[in-house]
Amino acid sequence: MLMPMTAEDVVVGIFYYMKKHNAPKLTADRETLHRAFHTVSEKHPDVMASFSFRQRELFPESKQLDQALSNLDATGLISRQNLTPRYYLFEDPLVQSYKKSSKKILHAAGINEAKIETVAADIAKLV
Amino acid sequence: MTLDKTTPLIDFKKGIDEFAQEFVGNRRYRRKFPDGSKIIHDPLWGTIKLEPWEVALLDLPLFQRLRQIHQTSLVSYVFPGCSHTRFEHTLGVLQQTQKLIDAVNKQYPTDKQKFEPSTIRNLRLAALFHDCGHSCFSHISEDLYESCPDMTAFIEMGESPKCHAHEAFSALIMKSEPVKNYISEIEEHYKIELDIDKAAASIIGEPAGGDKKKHYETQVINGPFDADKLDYIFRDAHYSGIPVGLDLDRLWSSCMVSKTETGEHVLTLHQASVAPLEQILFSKINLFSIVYQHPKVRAAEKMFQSIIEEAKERPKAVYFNASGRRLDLNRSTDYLWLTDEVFFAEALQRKQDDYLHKKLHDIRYRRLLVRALTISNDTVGEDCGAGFIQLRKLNQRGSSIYQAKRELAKLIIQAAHLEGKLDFRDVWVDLPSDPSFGEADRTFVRTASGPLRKVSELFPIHYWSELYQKHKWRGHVFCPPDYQQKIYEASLEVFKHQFFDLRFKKSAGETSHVPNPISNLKTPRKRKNTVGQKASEGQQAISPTKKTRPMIKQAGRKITKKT
Repeated sequence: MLMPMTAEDVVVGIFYYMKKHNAPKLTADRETLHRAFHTVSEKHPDVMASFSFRQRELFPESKQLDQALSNLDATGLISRQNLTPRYYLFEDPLVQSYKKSSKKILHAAGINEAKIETVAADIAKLV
Repeated sequence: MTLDKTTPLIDFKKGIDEFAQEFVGNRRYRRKFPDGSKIIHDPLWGTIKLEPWEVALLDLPLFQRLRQIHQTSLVSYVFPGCSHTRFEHTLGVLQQTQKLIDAVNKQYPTDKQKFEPSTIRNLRLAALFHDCGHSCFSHISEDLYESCPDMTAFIEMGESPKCHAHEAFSALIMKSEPVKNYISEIEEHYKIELDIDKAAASIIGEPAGGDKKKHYETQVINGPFDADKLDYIFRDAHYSGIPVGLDLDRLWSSCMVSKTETGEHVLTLHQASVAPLEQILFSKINLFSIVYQHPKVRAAEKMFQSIIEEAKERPKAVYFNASGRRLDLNRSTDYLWLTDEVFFAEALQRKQDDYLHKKLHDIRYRRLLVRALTISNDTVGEDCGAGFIQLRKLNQRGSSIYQAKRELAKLIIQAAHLEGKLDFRDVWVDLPSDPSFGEADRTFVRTASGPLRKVSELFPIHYWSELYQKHKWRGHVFCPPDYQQKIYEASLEVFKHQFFDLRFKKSAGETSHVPNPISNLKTPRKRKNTVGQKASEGQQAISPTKKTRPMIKQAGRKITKKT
């Protein structure tokens, strides 16, 4: 049974390619991340269809992104260290997770690797 | 909001109008407009003074029906004191709205007040209406009616901002013809002016007319420390017996309106008064982890969900009546007629051998489902991240995700060889969503030295709250008590097979009080053949694996084909 595609699969894909392209860490600043994902969602609406953004606050906020980051953090795919954890670190299970499941799920949803790699590059420029 | 002419949307609009007509427009229920104001004593906030026009509104069935909707769904089955209703909460929000307004106005000279009398009236109107769109057991029915075709069509129209379904209902009811007519009568009788559009915009969190300079007005009803939050956190904590310490006086004393770099005028706090906001966040975490996400509360909610699911699929056999109307629970607007009382009233009308009679009485008499497996960071085996994320991600919302969880329940029943004995609606894979902790990013603080700063920049409290939540989070598999052991073992197998070798520690069963908990973690091979040694935990799990694997694979194939 193939699980449905969720925001987690997209985030796993994006982070996988960021890690692959040697991005050592990612800001954990919520505003920066939400703004970056929102910008990218306007550019690549097909890839980012699992995210919706609430515009009524001071910056666009996505519940799905919050939940995905929390889930990735909780399952050890990314981590935050130090007392003031300003950055996320990409952990090894992220790679396994992408290769084992998210890649297939994204593919089944019509999102190919090149596309997700492009989105990852766009996010990397924004954060 | 103009509606398209497609069938679900016409249905949706018609549904709102029918509801508003019965609960506001029906003259049978009208009372004479009161001449004087009214005092209501609230156990939390003390004296609440209502203006005569507010009493005229509160007397309507639209608001009186809120007495029949519990504020915290089925929490009272675990925390017996927590049986307060949306009606009390509405009065509390009205009171907090006034307190917040008074506190801000107090900071400015009388000729430069931020909230004019007309604005105050509109915000009080919004406070009264803000929850009138709630249905049976508040938020748990919201999950069910927001996936109805008419509501989906309305959301896809994209004319309302991203807001909760009940907020959209509240705003639409407010803008319906029967409400408009009634408010016109009120305006005429009391010689006042009320702006329905402005009040409705506040409910859905939109600054009226998109005016950035008035964002602070909306924030009183829908903001980082809005009147709704201040009341529900205090009230839910008080009645559940988990009192919280919130220094509201301090919060109010420093609340002002400031201009951000982007030109928005927002409510701000002074740097020295941030502590109450931190208290709000921690209280929210406590309420979620202790009260709202208590396993028994979740189990009761799943039982409610299973009845509604059944009513949607077999409307001829499982149905509810309200005001002589048979409700169609595939229409979101019909949920507005369904209150907690209407829901349980059906139990009393049914014969003892009726399906719905049993199901409703199981909830009424607290014959609740039990935990068969606990899913958490603490119970999942290490090095299972790749599989765990695929399971945990099912705590996102959406119909495909809901469907996937129901398919998993079917797989578990098949793996336990309980098809025919156990209804698939008796087994639930429950993975709660995280509450939002965005308040720290949405609240600006005035510092002595310079521009406004976000609370999260000064102190990363949201990291703490997220970490706390991460470790407190618990998902479960629920089932009837008689099948706990079998469902437990089957769940272990299904999750292992479906989620890339996701394995669980013994504690997954122990914390669920399963009679014979086991672990299916991988154990070192050398222990497997030790002569004369008691079988290890890993060995105990081996036999069911071998027995059930082919059957699980087969079941998985069948379901994949179907979907």
